[in-house]
Amino acid sequence: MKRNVCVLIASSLMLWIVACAPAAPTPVPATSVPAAPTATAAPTTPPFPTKDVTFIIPVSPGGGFDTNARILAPYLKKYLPTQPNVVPKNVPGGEWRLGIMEMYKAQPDGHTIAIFNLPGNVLGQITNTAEYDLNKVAWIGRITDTVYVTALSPKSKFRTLDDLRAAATPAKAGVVGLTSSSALAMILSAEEMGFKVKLINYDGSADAILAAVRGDVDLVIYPFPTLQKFIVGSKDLTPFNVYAKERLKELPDVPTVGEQGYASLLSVVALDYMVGTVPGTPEPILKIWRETFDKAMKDPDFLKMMTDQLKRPPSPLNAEQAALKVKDTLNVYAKYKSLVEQYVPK
Amino acid sequence: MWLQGFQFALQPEPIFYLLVGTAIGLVIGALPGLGPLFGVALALPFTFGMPAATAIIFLVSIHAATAYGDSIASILINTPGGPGSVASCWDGYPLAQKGKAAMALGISTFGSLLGGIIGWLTLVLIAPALTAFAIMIGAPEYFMLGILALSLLAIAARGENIRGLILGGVGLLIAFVGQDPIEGLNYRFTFGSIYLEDGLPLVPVTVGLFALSQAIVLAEEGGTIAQFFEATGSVWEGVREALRRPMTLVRGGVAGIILGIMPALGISSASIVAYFVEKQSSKDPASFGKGNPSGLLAPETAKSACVVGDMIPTFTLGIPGSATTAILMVALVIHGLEPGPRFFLSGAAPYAVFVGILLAQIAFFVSGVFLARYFAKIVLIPNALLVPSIVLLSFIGAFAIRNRMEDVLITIGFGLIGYLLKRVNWPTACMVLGLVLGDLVESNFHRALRIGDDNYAIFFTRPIALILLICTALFLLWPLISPRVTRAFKRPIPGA
Repeated sequence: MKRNVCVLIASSLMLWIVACAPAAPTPVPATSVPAAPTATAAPTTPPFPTKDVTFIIPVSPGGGFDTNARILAPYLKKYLPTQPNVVPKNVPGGEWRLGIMEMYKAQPDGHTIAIFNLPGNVLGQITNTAEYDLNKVAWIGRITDTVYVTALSPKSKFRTLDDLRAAATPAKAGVVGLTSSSALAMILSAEEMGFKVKLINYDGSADAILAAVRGDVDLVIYPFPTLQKFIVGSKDLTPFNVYAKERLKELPDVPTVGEQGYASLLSVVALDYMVGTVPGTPEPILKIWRETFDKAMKDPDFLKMMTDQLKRPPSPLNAEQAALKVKDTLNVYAKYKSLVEQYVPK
Repeated sequence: MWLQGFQFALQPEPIFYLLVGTAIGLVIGALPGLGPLFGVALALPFTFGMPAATAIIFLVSIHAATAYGDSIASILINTPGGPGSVASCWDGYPLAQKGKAAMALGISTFGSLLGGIIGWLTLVLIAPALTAFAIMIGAPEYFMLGILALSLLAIAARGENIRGLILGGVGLLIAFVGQDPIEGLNYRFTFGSIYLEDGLPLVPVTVGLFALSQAIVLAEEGGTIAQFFEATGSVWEGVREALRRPMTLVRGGVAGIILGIMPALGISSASIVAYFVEKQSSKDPASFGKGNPSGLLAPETAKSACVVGDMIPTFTLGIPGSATTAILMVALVIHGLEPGPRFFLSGAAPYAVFVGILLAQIAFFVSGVFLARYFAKIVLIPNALLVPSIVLLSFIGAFAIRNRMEDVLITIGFGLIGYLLKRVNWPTACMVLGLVLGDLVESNFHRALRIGDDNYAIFFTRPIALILLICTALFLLWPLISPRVTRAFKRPIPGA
């Protein structure tokens, strides 16, 4: 028993030292170069990978982003040279900013990557509340996007778009975080479709959806996999529209936004699961990452897990396409800056 | 289906992972601050290659054993092993100090087993009905529930009312640090720090208040924890003590299940609430905090029932009852088991999972009974060795939750506060009650007002909210009413 305790304490101590190591040095400004490499020529690329990779997830465990990142991590390990561990690390807080900034300020040596949320992370940038610039992030690729669905509470007095437009009081929408992608999707849809909406903030998507089931809020907008069990083969919520080019095979009677006359919303109401690394990461390391990512996206086991999770095959993008997607999203949302600021009190 | 479930769960591979999971859970549980959330999140990636039911059995065995293991440190060294076992210190540690560590561990082990079984029976027998009830609990009801639980301050602070209320208020204030939960980007008491925007984290604060402060106290005392007493009693004596208190088991079990099925409440509040409910219903409340077996049995039963109770909405609705079951749900989804109303229709696997949950309770019970006598020897280790270990493990526990050094500083700060409070004999428990409930009360108050279009009537016009309000009033007024009620019932008798 004593021996067990010793082993436990010793291993805890090791854990402690290992865990502390990256946190110990004070953040180095991006321009300065660490002392040791200056001896050699400046443009040399540090070797990669030389240690475990940290995969930062800037949200708490359990949601869609956490799930996708955790599914992906072992496949990144599988295809990286020397197969280092890819360790998911939840750094929730400050509406994604804490986690993103932890990655943003890390050494640009390829050993820190993060999962990003488009358009959610764009919002911080256009309202000047975030310290990061998404255009500077070194993009590795997009895991997938997802299809949004709006669902009405069966207890709501609203049944059609005309009901919503004619209402004297705003419809109540359950959201999680006023700068989240789903809140953004709600605000833009209401604006384009011409109805008034009041956002009710919940702690998690499950709470917001339950509020709609109960009738405390009138509607919610969420990715299809999140809402599926409440709208397919269930009468908990009534699906209202689908943000996709074609109707979903699981919801053949539910119109697309295009059919409702708002095809323009398709380009803004979407959700992308992006992966990127530290600005200024040397090109050879990025090349390794991008090849690794592309191989992982084609791995049959990975594809099967993602398909089970999303109920459809994932739609990945390579690094170049992903960077373009980020640029587009920033441009599109810049137009909506003042609208968003009405809903997000300073 | 049940037969197939048993056949699957009793095969060598699931049983192997059940035992491995229980062992991992006991170790993680015993580390201060690290609770079920850490254990289950850590193990999730290892399950990717397993068959679905085996994976879930592995995770639920870690879940149950971590929650159980959390109490070992609470009882033996007054250091909560996780957020769910804060209340287990209050009567568990005094028992250990009296040399009855083995008995206290017996109470904890058996109480946890029965709590788990009560939770399991609820899960398999009446889960859908309970879930339908839990759905009806919205923002105004959560607010009223929070107020009802806050009224427990009256019991927590008995004898030290002013100090207790001050600390309860301080706990609430600490809970309000950070981002406004409803309006979003309004920051309170953050002093411009991004770190404070999310508020002060519960685990580092409680680890500091209870574990680190305890290390300082032990360092001052020197010697060993059980220095003044001979070690007496056995694990089985604890089991007998527990069996003598059937009503405590029922009260703890019911409290645990109710708080478990509500998505916003979990084990950190379940055990504390069960403790004070038990103290309120006791004939001898003054003996609480001095080593009353009921004061340990109630939170232990509640915690274990809550662990299973948390799974009820997860399985029946696909809505996790806590952060830990959120990870469990990720595992269910990854393994192709659809949580939600159709969960029971996915063949024999769900039944194997249910059998696994039951076996997990038995596994930690058996290991607990077997290991308790060795664990109990910790109280004989000199404090000079124990204190550095507690300090080290507290720092690891505070750090590992979010991998942030700032959390360790918070632990140090609250360690000093906790130590000062112990020196002047202020009831630290009141502060934790405020801290645990502050966010729930505040966010649901504002949320309810937004839903009710800023009309306070929403708190009185919804039946469940109104009932909860009446319960709170009765609860607070009971000491005044009870003599009259007793007299009213006795009055007709004098002629007889």
